[in-house]
Amino acid sequence: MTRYILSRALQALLVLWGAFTLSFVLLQVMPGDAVLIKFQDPELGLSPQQISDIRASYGADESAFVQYAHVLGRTLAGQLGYSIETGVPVSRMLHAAYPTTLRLAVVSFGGAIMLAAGFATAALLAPLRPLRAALRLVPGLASGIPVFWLEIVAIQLVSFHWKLVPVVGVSGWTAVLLPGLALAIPISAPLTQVFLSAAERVMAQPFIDVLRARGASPLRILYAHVLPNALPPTLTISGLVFGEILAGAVVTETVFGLDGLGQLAQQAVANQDVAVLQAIILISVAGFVVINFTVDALHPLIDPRIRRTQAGGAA
Amino acid sequence: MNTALAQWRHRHDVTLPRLLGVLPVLLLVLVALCPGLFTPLDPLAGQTDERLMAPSATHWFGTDQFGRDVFSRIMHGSFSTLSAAVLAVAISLLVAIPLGLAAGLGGRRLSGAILAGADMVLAIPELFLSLSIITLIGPGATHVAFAVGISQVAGFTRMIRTEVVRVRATEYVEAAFGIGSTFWQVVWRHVVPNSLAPALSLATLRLGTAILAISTICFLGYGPSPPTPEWGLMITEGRNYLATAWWLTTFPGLAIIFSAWAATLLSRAIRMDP
Amino acid sequence: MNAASPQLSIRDLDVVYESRGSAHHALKGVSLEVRAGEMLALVGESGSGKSTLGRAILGLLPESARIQRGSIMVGDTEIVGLPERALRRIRGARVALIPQDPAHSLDPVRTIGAQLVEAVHLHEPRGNTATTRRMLVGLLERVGIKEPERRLHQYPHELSGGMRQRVLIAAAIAQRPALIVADEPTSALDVSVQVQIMALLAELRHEMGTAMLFITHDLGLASEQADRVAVLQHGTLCETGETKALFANPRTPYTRRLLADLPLFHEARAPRRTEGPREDAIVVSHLTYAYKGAGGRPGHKAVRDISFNVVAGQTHGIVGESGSGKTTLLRCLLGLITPDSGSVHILGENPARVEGAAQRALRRAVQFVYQNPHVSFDPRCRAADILAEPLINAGLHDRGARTERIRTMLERVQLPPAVLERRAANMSGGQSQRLAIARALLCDPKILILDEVVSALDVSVQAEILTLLETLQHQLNLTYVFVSHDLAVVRRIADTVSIIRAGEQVEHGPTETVFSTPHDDYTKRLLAAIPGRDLMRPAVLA
Repeated sequence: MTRYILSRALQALLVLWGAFTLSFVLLQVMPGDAVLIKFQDPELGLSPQQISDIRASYGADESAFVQYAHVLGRTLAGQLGYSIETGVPVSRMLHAAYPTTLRLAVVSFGGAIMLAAGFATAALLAPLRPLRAALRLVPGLASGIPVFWLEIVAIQLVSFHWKLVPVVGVSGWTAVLLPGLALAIPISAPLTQVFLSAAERVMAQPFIDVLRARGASPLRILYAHVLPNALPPTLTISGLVFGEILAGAVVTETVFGLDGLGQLAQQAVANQDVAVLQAIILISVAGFVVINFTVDALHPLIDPRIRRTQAGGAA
Repeated sequence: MNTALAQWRHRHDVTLPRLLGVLPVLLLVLVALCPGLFTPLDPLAGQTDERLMAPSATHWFGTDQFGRDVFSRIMHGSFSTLSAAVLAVAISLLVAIPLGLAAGLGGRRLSGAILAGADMVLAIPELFLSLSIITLIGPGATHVAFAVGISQVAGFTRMIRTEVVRVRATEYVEAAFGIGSTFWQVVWRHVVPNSLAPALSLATLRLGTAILAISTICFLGYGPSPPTPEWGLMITEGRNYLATAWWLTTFPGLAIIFSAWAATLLSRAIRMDP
Repeated sequence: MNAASPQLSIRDLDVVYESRGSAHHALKGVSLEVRAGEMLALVGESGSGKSTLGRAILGLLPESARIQRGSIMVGDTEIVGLPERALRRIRGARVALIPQDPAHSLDPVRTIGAQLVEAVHLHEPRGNTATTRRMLVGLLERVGIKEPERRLHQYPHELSGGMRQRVLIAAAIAQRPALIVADEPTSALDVSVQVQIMALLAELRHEMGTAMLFITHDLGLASEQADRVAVLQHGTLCETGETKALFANPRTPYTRRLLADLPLFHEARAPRRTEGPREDAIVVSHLTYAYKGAGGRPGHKAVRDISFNVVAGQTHGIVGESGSGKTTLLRCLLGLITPDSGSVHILGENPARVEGAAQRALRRAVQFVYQNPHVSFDPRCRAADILAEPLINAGLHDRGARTERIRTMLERVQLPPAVLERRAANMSGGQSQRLAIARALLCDPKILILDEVVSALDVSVQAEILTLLETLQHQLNLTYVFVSHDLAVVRRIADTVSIIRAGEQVEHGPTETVFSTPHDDYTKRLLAAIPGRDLMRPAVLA
């Protein structure tokens, strides 16, 4: 058991390191010179000497490998560097931006879970087969709707037309209510799809028939037997869902004008502010890795069969 | 002739729902290749006296702030999005098929290395990955296609590898070795067709995902620049008239949804298993 | 309710499956009765509608099925047309099900105790868990489970197949139902376990006076266990009667054919003359193999010190229950794994040593036929492609010559040429097993390894395939290794036999010697456990 946890933790660290390296290669080595691009602009009126000083201060003069070692070293020490655009420490920018995104994530994740649960129940228990088949198609169709469009329509209808939730001049939880709920729809689609196909596999098993033959009601079978069996495969995509929420935040915060990590990322891309972009990518990878590790560690608690294989494997 | 057709239909299991599933994509292809067939109006030239007009018999989807016909812009814009999506999926398949086959057929070390690499890439959300690539190579229609294509490689590789491993473990592959087929004969006759068929059906499904990803990036402003008609970009531009001209954002969005759904239908139609 | 009144009474039952406008009549005018304390065996081949009948009684027909007419009375309650809520009160309380496959009939992620408590509380909503668990301990003891307190805390995967079936029986009898539907309750279990389970069911039936509908494909088992037998063919009840009378004097042609096709244990095959030099096609000596590493538990599926020879042109039977090491033994014969010690020689060669072209030649000479032929064919290939593959491998690239050989082979295995255009998925079990044999024979093999090839087939098809195998052996001078758990089948086809138990060969020798004068206790027990062992072919058929 301990060995299993340790090997999973090692794997998680490896993925984190790999993703860090990949984002470094993409963002900092190959264009090489975000600094040059930025400060070369003749309008800034900087002399070549000043530019090369600035380059040195960002470490852009060094070879790619030395830069990599430097960035990896300071990242491990918890230093995320400075924004090329504003010169502000990246960590300070993140600190200012994360509460909005966290609230957005909470609303959209909570909304997605409720939506997925309600919808899955309906799709599994609906009375007629054609109706169930039709409901089964909905998550696939929902994932074909672009988030930004959905959110724009939501603003037009909910905010402008029905005047239910204001979107201008709001802050705190009110500000993330509409965007969070809109984002919940595309987030819930993959959750529902994975859960439904897992649930259908479970429901095709003989023990479900045996339960029905004992007089158990469909609702009871769903919650007491199908749910615990279908949960583990659904949980395996939670890491992915986290990434989807962060990516969704980029679009959502742009549409609603919220100052969160997504907005930060969007501006970083626009300004080629690689230090900020890399920090946000690192956050999303770290979240993915931590969530996946937690799910892996919890899996044996949910499924007793895994407990035995691991005990056997470790012996 | 009739019986030959019937035989062909039977062998390929051509049914009415399947044929219907192909229709929306055929329509899209036609629109993308010959938008002129569907609208006589110029997507770029605007009529200054016809600015921000609501949908009517002359302008089905209304006009924008320059008096350009939105319907015509959507028709002409389809080529940009659809060709970029096809290009993106083609790029990812081109890279992922050899990688996935190698990971499925190769030894423990090769397959382990490919999978570890794929897992690292998969840890980064696709949008962040394609935005990073855009930061590297700069914006533009083709660049967006390339970025979206590359960011889908890891997922495809894993998918193909899973299929290859599944097929390799079947009894019919064991049986093929049993009747004296060599490794490469088995790979070519049984493993490749049986593992790539579901992978290709999923690739079609990913066409829809690519359409969404591309229009998202164009919406964020890294695609083609104005005045090019592009669905995502049209929505960005239309955002300034949210309260007054709903048609500027609604119709391009519906076009994106229609295309994504068409891809989903196509993937269901070509799926081989019953 | 007095003992003679029927607990189950079905009148003129018609069940139709409807899909896309086409209707399939699964049951046509079926009428039967089961009385308290009585066991009625419902016997039929696959597709006869016997499972549909079982589901109809529980009110669990799939949505596509419709009861067109007729009545199902459980005690004095009409099941047909009863609303779902009322049905739920009857299921489990007055009618219980003992399912077919104990391995998948318990929820894998909940403990035995939780599932049994649930089964009880479904009908006693105000039940007290502690009281129920105390009651369950007694119940588990009653169905023959040792250490019942410990079992309540275990998960299904920690129990053997036989024990799981006992748990399912306990759940079924917990509410003392008036009627039990047992749907092939032992078909997934080994024969020695089957005997124990059937004995338990008989005991419980007599003790509690429960009526039992026993659904089975196994005529032998039915002849031993049932008070009365009902034979179902294509949805129609073709014969019902007292067991003894029905087996002694079957009235309808269908029942007669079933009995004629049934392999009977005490009918030995005619001893075959062996002419010419006796040459050994397979020599296995002191073969030992153990799975190592994290995956296989040590000792599991291993084989130890197995020796036998198979004379060319003869059939060697291998008999063993699940987990006995049969599959490991076969993998050694095929050269897929290398024995730890001892040796295997096939046609004079060691299959684990040969490589490259010689290995492929040996592989072609030793052909393997699977238990479930459907999964041994590429689902994308038509029969024509499947049969062409071994010929192309052998270098026969001329299309005309291939077609000619395939045509001759189809005649040999008695398949119509029309199957060439079909995929295996669209063939019947018998047809696809013939196709598998044809593919094997197109490799020009000397030896066929037949792994439970008739186990999944109905008796009539089984008899046809066995006859075909015998004819082919005679015509082509083939050597067979025939693996089966069915001793009656082995006795019919095998010249020599090995009995394997837990990786060890407890007995081997000429089939007649082993079966008529067994030395080993295990062999004796196996022989005693054969269902319908004492069944005699009725005089009318002799």
